[in-house]
Amino acid sequence: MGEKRITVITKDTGEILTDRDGYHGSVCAKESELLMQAIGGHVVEQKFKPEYYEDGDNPVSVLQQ
Amino acid sequence: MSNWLRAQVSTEIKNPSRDLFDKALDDMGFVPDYSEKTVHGAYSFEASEPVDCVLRDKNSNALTTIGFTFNKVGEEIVLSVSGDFYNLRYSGQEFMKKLGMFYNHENARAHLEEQGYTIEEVEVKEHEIVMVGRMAA
Repeated sequence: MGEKRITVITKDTGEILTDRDGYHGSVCAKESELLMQAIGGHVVEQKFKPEYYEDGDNPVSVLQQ
Repeated sequence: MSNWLRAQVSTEIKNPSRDLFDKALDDMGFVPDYSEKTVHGAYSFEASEPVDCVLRDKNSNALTTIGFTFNKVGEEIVLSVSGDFYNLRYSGQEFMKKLGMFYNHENARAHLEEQGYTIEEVEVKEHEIVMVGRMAA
């Protein structure tokens, strides 16, 4: 029996990041997209995990504008 | 395998859910008092303003100098804040940014719990909230 895990990062700029573990990438993206739609957001970017790990183990720092 | 998805939501709160609004304020240490319809400044010479609710401090239950109004703009209800922020750490604009962040967080949390997730971690930082949910697959 497996486990689904999701991380949601909500920023004060209105930016929201989600990370879904345990699924093939396209399924992760779809589930995250549904979450975004449910809370009134529109998706602006999607990247696979390694691209967000340029700064050690902190994906947030890569995304801050 | 996992991936990150980035989305943008409005920093304005339109058509607010009263439940999520109350939860977001609770996260920030406030309770809205809907029986109070006038917000007063910190000093007697300051003008009072009509509002739809005034915030109370969650711990002391004391009335604050911050109030909210639910304005109907066309078909939408837009939330606006008014009052005196002198005694707080935030300006009015910063307060609304924080409230928007907590509102979006509570909205996401409600959606995940509806889907059957258990929220196991919530870490509030200065400019972001990190939430981790798990569910048996």
